Amino acid sequence: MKFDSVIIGGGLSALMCGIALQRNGISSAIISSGQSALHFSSGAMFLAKDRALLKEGHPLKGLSDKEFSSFQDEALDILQKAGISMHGASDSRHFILSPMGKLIPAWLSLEGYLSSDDATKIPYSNVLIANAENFLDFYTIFLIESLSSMGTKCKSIEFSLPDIEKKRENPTEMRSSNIARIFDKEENIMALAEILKREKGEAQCIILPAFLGFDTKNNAKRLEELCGVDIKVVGTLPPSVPGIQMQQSLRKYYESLGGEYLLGDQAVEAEIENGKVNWIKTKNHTDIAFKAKNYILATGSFFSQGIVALNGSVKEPLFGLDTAYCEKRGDWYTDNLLEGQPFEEFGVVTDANLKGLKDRQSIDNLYVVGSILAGHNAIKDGCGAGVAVLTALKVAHSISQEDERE
Amino acid sequence: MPANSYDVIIIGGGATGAGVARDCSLRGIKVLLLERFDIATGATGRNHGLLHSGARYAVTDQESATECIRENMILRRIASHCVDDTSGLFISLPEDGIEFQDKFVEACLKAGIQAEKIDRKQALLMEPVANPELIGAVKVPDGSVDPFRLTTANVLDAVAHGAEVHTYCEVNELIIEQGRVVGVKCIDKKSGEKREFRSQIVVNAGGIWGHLIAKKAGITVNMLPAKGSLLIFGHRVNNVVLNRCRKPADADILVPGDTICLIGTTSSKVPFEECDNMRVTTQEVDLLLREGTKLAPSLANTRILRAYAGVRPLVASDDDPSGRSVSRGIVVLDHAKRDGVEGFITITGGKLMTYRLMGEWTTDLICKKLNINKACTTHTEALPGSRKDERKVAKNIISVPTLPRQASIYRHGEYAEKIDASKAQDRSLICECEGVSVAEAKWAINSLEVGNLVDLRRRTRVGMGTCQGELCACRAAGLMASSGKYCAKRAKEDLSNFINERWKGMYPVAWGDTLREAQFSMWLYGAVCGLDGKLRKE
Repeated sequence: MKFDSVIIGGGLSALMCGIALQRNGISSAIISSGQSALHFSSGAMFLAKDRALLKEGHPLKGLSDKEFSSFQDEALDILQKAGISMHGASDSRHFILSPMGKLIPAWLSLEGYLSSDDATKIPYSNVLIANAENFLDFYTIFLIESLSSMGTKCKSIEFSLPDIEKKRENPTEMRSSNIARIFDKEENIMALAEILKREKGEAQCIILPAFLGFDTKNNAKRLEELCGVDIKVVGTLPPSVPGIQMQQSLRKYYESLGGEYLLGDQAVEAEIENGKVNWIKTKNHTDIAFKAKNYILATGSFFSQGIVALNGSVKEPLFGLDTAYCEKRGDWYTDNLLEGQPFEEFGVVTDANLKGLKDRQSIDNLYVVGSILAGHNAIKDGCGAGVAVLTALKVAHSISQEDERE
Repeated sequence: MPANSYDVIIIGGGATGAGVARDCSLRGIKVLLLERFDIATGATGRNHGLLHSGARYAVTDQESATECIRENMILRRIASHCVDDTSGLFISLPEDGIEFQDKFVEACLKAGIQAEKIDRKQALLMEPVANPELIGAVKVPDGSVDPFRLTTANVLDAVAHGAEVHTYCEVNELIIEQGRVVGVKCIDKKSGEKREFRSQIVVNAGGIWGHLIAKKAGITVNMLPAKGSLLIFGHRVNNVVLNRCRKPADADILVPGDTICLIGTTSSKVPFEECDNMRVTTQEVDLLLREGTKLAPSLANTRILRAYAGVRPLVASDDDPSGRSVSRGIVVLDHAKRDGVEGFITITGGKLMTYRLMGEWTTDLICKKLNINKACTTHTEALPGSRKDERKVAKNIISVPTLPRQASIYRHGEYAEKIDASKAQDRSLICECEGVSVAEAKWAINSLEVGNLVDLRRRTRVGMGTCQGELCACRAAGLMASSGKYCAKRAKEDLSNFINERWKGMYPVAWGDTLREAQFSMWLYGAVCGLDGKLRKE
């Protein structure tokens, strides 16, 4: 199988890169094992807390100011064309309300999420928070505590519907994605609207968990029309329904541009010769190799197994690329898990053009993008989506320019 | 008797303190138990959870071996819901040689331990994951015992017989009048309130921290903190307790328990300052893994959930100032005789296996001092949770879904009947790894003295499974706050504490899937939820 480019990994970075390539007329395939960090997206994208403070070697450090801003514009355009409405812009900060009731600074947030331009309060003084009865992955009390302290009057209700009752019979079924499918049915949205209308009282806004439909995306707007009040969502514990939807929208857009999205496949073997990748083979295609001019590795960090930690070392399993990590395992961690750990910065090292290295030699046709890259701490630097998106677009540009020259 | 006045005050809510409290209560003695944290937080909850047959000590320490097998048989009767009758194997590897085996079996039999030699084939049939290179094996009546539930059951029974128990209540002074200990001054850590209690006798059951309590009466008890580290694996790899048939050494016991198995222990002397904040080192992890894979080679490819360490309260003999001659046996110190301080007893040494016997001996001494003539009954009266046939219990709660039904009976015996699962919404699982339902968590929160998420974990195993609290921690925190245990703000702090408490055990072994899990937790709670995890002092 021959393509101009083969992208390994199916998350945000891979899709962004694939879409940008297709838009420049470069054919590509994405090999996606299925799961990605988008599946627990908070609904927001974080660019970088402060670009000026980023350490030397940070993947975003290698971008010029012009690239930094033009790639953001390109990303916004891609998201919009993919049918994903985002709130926010590159030059202004806004804040998204977390499931714990914290206002977190964001670059972009999905339309429909409760966000604010003010770090200290939300734009409503009176809200109703409605949760499905017994849905344990969303707790209204956490929101009430925070919102009350911000000066917002809160009331909360729990609701149920016959279809939710049915789900509840199995104790493990009450997950956001399962409930979302219930709201794909028009009758259930109508029934929910009836409940909300009855309960809304003086509320200016009704807050719901982000589970308002799996295949349908405009249910919040529908409810707004039906209830005559703002409807906003707040994230749940995983899976993140809007995150999954975002991945699906990007995939559809990618495919509409002619991209080949191979779902449920995994690259397992590769051959490198004379500083170039010759081919890769996948789990589903063990006999036929994938051949391409360029390969893009976007397999993610430890969670997605783009890199694998052994007892004392970190490996990149597919190509055996050079990785950066602390030699002593004791130095990988600190006491507070939530502040962003040293291991978060481990990953694959590249040259200035984001080409992967093996035994310190650049591999000419292998680019590395996204959270697999060494040198960034997504939690501490607040740069997860920034690295995923901007490195992907940078590589797509390099490849396109090269292509033009030829 | 005036208010705040008791026959006996017990300091320390480990298995020993709980055992003393139960024994005293059953003999009609009015007891107050004070614990500075939650019950079973010290060495009680930080060991193998091995129901020793005594075989391990048979060759080196006949007295301990005899005590163990006797208590083993008693615990199977009185604490059946805490005991898993797995049986045990002592395997000989080529490097151990077979010579030790005869001596071992002879010593076991002499101590009253049913030890039976079996051949290699039988041994591997009995435990397929055992090292296939073994050259011989001996079958013994080892098992596993859950120390959290065992301590809880003792406390519950003590309370049922009139004892009072205050957790999170730290004693900072002994009240001494005319050379006699007559009470304690303490601080209630939940309310910040200072309190004073009086009694005829104060029992020091503070484990390794007991030397500090004795010091408050100007008494020196020469203790030697010995740290033991263990690893927990994510699967119940073995079904039979595996030991090495040789003289006791590091990391030579692999114990199955609940959904996991654990290997331990290392043994090293540590300074007292470290006892409050034990950390498992990289070297200890590597040693445990190296030795563990000799017992069961498949451990090399099994995910490690976490590492933890406890401190054995070893006591140096009084007549040995060098501290080298150490007793692993039970030590009851009557400070009236030993130091001329009346009304003060220290109970220490011993092991989880002998907690009941330690309670018996201490209570015997208390009875002598208080002129009470009542015999011990703790060896015959079953603990709450072990008083009904589990099959009967299962019948009575047959409407509960299978997983939470079986899990709750396994954990709480007939107390599972007290869990109200009649409402559909209470049947949801908050912890999918361990099958903990909303109903079980609610019952524990309301009936078992739960003050925070870590306490809840000790009662129900919430967050102890493969995911180490990924989703259940948040659900449990929400439930705690909803049931009014504390406010939502405190719940968020408690959630951060809980995640970092889990992390403390994970990071010594955080590579492979354990690191993946940690990264997921970090992204979820750090980035999505926005918790900062700033550590709060208790």
